[in-house]
Amino acid sequence: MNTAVLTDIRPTTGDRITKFALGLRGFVIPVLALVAWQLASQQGAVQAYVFVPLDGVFKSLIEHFADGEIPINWLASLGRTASGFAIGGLLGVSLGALMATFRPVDVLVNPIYQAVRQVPLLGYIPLISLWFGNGEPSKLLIISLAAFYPTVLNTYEGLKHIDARHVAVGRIFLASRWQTFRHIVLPGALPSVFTGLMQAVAFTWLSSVGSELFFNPGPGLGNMMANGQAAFRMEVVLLAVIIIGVTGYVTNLIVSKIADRVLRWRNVR
Amino acid sequence: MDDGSVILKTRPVSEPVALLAPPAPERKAWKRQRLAAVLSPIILIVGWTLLSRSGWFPAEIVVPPEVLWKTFVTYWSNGQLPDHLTGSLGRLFGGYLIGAGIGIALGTLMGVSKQAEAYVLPGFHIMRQLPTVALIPAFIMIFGVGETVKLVLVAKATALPVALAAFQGVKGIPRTWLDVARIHRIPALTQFTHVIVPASLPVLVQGLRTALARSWMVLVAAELLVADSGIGQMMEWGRQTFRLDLVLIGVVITGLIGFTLDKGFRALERLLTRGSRRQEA
Repeated sequence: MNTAVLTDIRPTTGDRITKFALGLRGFVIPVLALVAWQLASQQGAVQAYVFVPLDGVFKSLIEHFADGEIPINWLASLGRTASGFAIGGLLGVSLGALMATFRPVDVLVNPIYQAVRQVPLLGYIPLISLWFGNGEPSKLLIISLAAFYPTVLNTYEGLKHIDARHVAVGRIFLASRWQTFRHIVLPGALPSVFTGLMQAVAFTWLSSVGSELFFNPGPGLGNMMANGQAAFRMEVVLLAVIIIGVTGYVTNLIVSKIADRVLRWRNVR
Repeated sequence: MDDGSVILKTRPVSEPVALLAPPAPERKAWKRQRLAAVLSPIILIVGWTLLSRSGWFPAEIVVPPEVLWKTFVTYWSNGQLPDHLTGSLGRLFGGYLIGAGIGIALGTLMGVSKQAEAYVLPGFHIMRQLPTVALIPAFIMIFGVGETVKLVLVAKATALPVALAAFQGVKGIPRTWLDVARIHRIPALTQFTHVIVPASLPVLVQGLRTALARSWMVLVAAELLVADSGIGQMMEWGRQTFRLDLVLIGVVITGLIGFTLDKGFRALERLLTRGSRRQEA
């Protein structure tokens, strides 16, 4: 009976088809939701206002791409996110490093940082609005803060949690200060710094859209949504939501790929 | 000479080098740290007072602390502030409970059943890409400007991370534990209450905590846009009428609530996961 001990376990075409078919199960609920939406839109004129027919959404996607509304707002949001990320990230890494290196800075700044961070970011909007107005600087401030918080924390933690044994080895080999930094501290802290930057990317995108919702002047996806809501044009609001989601997804994907590449020397747990 | 290969110059070590820094007088350092933790807020408050006295900024922009205190006392005693507080917290807990319930049910179901996972998880990942703050305008259009929209927003902000945590918690249970339970022919319900729930609890509780912080942020944002009461509405009203004292009080209260919720939850977390940690030790 023991003739076929070794079975071919490579997937056959049949297996692949089965796998593909099983994978389709994930689409059942989203498709049902879309069908329900479409049905709701056909119930009457009132419902069609809220549940815009899907072909209407698609039509307005083409239309607003052509007339430049989507590209302009999209690029504005992306640009704002990038500048906020650059400013906040740079300041965040610097402050985190300062706090981890110099005790007086740590002791004086850390409690304030922790206190300031307790307020939900968008909760600062009324205050910033009164202090700095509703224009571009206010938006940039919010977005920079969104990059600032996680980078400070993760840079600090990364530098504080350098393996003491690694530093000890460096001392045995009489490494200079620079060598210790370059070959022990920096590689030890880099993964954590990167974690902070990755969180910052996701968080800046969200707060970019959030700040645009509240600070009206100027182009941006949040602005497009606010205007769409004011004019009760659901298709514009939905388009903005979809573009925001897709952009967030793609940027996260890119960032995690970059992180994988940059940190590929690290032993992954 | 930095080619990355042999980096550190090796010299014979003539004298013993202390491997680790000698244990510094830690108690003293710790005491100093506590002092500093009190010191920096005091510096901040004193600096704020001096700035408001300096005459560089009008008192409406940099509100003197005593004015803030007076406003706080007035609004607290005339019942407006407590009303805003109960309004916000009621919404927060209402939406949170709904969202956490849905999240736990959905996440556990996905964790236990492969079928449920295959049907629900992909759609779930799509929903996760849509930041709740970005959904505020669309939800306002669907649910109107009443209480519903805030509850729905908080519930959405809660349900997704909680479901993910519940799912990961159940998926993270070692297979062998479930096998042992099966070998002993333990009824499904007992398996659920005695293996799955306690084993997935630590991850779930962590998810519940992040969800609470996130839903507080979403609620404040939503109240800034649509509300007739609540801390967010109070701040928005302060903004529109240029009452910086009200805005500042709102900011401080928002922060305090966020802080208290997080600390309270951590205490609860320690209490709930006491058992599992004892097992690890």
